[in-house]
Amino acid sequence: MTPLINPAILFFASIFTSNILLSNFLGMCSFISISKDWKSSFGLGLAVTFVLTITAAVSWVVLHFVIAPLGLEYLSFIVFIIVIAAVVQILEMIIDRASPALYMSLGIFLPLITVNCAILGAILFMQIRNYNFIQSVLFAAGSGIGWWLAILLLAAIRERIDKNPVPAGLKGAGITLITIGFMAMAFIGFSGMIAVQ
Amino acid sequence: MSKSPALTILKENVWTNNPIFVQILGICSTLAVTNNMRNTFIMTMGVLLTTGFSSFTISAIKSLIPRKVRMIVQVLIISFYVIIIDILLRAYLPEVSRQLGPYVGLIITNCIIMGRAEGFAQANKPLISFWDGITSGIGYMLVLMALAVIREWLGFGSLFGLRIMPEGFTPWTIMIMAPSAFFLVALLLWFARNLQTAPAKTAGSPPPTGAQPAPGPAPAQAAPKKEQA
Amino acid sequence: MKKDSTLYVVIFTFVICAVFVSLLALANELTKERVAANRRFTSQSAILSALGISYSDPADAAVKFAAGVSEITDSDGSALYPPAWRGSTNGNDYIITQHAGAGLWGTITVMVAADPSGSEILGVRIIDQNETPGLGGRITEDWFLDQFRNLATAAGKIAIKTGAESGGGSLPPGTVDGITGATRTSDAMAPIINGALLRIRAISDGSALRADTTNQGGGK
Repeated sequence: MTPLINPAILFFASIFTSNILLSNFLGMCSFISISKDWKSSFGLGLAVTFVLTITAAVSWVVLHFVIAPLGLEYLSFIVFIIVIAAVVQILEMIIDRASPALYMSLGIFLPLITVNCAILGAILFMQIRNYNFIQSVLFAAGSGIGWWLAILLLAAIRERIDKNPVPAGLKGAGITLITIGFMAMAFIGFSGMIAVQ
Repeated sequence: MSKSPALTILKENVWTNNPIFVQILGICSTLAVTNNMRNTFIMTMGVLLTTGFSSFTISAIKSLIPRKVRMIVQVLIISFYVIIIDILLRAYLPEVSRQLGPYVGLIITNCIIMGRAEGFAQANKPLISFWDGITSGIGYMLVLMALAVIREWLGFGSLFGLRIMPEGFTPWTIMIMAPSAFFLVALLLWFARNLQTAPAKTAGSPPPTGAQPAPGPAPAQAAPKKEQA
Repeated sequence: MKKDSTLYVVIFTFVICAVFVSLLALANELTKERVAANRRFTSQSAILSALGISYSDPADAAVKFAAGVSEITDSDGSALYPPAWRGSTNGNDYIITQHAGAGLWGTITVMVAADPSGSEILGVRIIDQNETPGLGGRITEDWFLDQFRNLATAAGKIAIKTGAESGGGSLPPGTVDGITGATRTSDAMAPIINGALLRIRAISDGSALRADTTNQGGGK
């Protein structure tokens, strides 16, 4: 049964109160490695948001018009992965043809995103929670923007931290994880912001 | 001696090149469930079995896979095993399946499995690839179980669901929530790095270069280990 | 045939897909019965727990369910949506209904057992929820749900006390304590349980049993 959550509230909630990375731990691998550089973080975040929204829309359609009627729920994982790979591939081709400038800032990250857990994760959440189309698209867009916001914040913080004396064992990934932990704590403070119904 | 390479791989995957605190791989899918030991155990068993069996399968048919579709075929094989695990959980452990929710499906995107497939199975024989997968899974499991012990103990006052703290104990709610997982992984990382560099200094060999987080797409992350076949 | 030729790629991909998909279909078929049985057990155990009847295992639950509970049908004889049942325990009759409503993160589905007039809740069980583990997720814990055991309602409704004062002092009739730190989920539970009580009253006076009644607030 479709939950009765207002899609607009869902959008804001998925950016702040249930941030796909800071609360749901999805999309960490590339998050930690790319956040060293602000520019790449911006590009990757944009790419993730873009891909998430489009693949969520396509996956919803496939889920409700192909998988459900044919009773193929047990194959959903494979179908979703294929949809993600296909969408990423097509997007890459379109962007490459349409605008080389856009390709340089966004397109090069696309192959990286195919196995990003955040994409598949958001789609699986959509499936488990039975969102309708509008809810799915806004949830996906919000999750992407939340991820983008988180990586930008982290990149900004890392630029400063890396100039400071960090203990040898914590350099790189260690201090990054601690920073992410503090960011997660800060985002918990948003949880009173969204009023439901 | 065929035992020796196996033991080397075991030591490598569990300690020197542990997927989590050296390679920083694959934490996404499981961190979320580490506030509960039972769920962590089942998730990491899932990763372990998937890594082992998919490495085995990929290695077995590697000579048949055309180059163009290599990545997709690997993903397909990994998805196959994950779906089997999901089906088994739904049938035999429905409560756990509900609690784990979407995270079982996310094992597919776990970078470790893809990393081992690209980095080891593509270049080695099936049985040793199976062992490599299993040992990577063991390394993964040990770290996450350690995390889960701390989080469940302090956050719920229990271990594996059995209450062990006295009634007057106020649970540390932060341990149940997201931030604690990040802090604890960082602390474990620090601890492990210090342990790894200290004896290396006395032995005179260079410390492991694990300080750089793994960059780029999953295939580039795991250093290929070629076995003298 | 060369490994990289298009024909080989196509055939290979097709064969691989066919093999794996058929194996999965097989696994799915073999476990279908079990999965359905698990679902039945989830529903039956929730009803029995709400009624306060204990059972030792799924088989025992099925036996006790068949003995003491019957599904309520509408005037056409078809099952209600969401489903409801009549059950008896300790010589008294109760109506059990499944009801769902919006939680913080998704739908919360509950099973409420109460006497037909809705004046006393016998028990509440949570069937499904997606709330924050350790906070909102604690609505599934015994201490929270046990508050509803034999709870007398106030004018057919209950209230959940949230906020800084919850947990201290005595509660007004028909009120239970919410979960500290999970105000939103606790607040969301009250209308869901009250909705279930409303439905139970509608079933016992017959208004929900008309075949043309469209049922709102359904469950899975």
